[in-house]
Amino acid sequence: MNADDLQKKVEEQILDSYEAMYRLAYTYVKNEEDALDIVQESVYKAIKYSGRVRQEAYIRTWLWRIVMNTAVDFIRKNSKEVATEEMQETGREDTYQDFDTLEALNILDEREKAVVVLRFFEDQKLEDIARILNENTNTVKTVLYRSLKKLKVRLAEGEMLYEG
Amino acid sequence: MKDEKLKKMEQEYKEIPIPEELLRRVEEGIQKGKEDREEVVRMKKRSKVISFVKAAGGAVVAAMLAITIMANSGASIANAMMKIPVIGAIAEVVTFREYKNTTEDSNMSADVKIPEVSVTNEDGTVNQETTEQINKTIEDYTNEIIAQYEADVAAYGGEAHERVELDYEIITDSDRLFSIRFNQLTIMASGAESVRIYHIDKQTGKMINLKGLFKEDADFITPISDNIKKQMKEQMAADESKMYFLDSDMPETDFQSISEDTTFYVNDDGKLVIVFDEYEVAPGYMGTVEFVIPTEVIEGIVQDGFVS
Repeated sequence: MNADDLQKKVEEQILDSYEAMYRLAYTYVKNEEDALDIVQESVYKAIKYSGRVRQEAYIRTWLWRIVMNTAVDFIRKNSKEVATEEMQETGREDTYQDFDTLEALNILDEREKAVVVLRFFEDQKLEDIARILNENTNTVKTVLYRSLKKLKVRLAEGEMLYEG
Repeated sequence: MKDEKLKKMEQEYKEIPIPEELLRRVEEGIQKGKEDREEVVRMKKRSKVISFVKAAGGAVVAAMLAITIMANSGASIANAMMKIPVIGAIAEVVTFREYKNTTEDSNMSADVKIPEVSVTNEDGTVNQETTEQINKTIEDYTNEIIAQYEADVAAYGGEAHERVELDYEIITDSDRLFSIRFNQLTIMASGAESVRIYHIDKQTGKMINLKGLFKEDADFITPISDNIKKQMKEQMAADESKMYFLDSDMPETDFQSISEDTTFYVNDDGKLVIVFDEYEVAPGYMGTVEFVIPTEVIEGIVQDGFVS
């Protein structure tokens, strides 16, 4: 496939899944403004480097990967500011300690967060998640187990890993 | 049934409000990405004829398989003889088979030549082990190509356009080294083949990878990788139609380093050549790319007899 075709395919896939890209970004930064920046930056990179996609079938996992990496980069770059803001808002923190809400994801690290979101909320297959994270499937499974334990979610093994 | 907590979290996730601005921002990102990508497109048009052919025909894949035989048998005396040129075993192509197929509508065709190699020891007896190994390697490789072609015919029938050609040439036949190179041309709508080069060290009768060229525990990855990066930069500076994945703002897709299994062969001048598959280190229009590694870069760590 030549570069023009690939770019078109990437564009189509973006237009098809930009809301999901936004949700993943939002899960990381938890505010609209930053999530928008991350999505725009990710889309920009995806189109700019669309010639690097090796197979059409990988475009979607590739987009997830870009969003995840861009979000993580963003957090690293802004970690100082975020920390300051959190300190100013200490009084409100307890409100979010309910484990039934998305805020519960905060106890997970960046990789665990991606695995939980992609597996359970975006219904991605373990092998696709593995490709997104550049890990093997067993590692993803391990991360998933650990994350669910942290979240105090208990599932039978079968439904946890293979449902959907 | 998902766990209740998980279900609630999923629901909340799905309810993350989508700002009105999002689509506009996405379109902006697409636009900007296209602008910055423009250069590649322009470069492609300016580059050589072959790029034009590629763009017109979809992906053109030049893959090859080189099988390298150390033309000296007898592992036990190998070290002692390393520096002495010896007329040793003879390896030659004795015959070949051909796989030819064209679909009724002529949209898909394949022409695959499958050589058979015979390796003879110094005393004139056939080196059974290496002969079998090399032919098995060639057979596995060509079978894979044929199977892929047949699978495509079965899957797409007359819907697709595909042409597969494989031929071979003997690129090296020196005192020490016999190399047979396979050139694979695949023209089709999508998909890329990987470059395959298998090597057999005749002294041990075993297959070797890039690591097998070097002395034990020697770090060959760093000097070769650094040299390739240097060459990439030089080429990009000298010729604007050249582009490699290097120093971008997406480092995870950039070329970082070679590995123990990176594809290679030794060329006519006795120089080590590193080969990258289409898309591996450069955009598709660059096709398969090769880097000749100056021997001084690996001097002292490469085993004797492989390069000069």
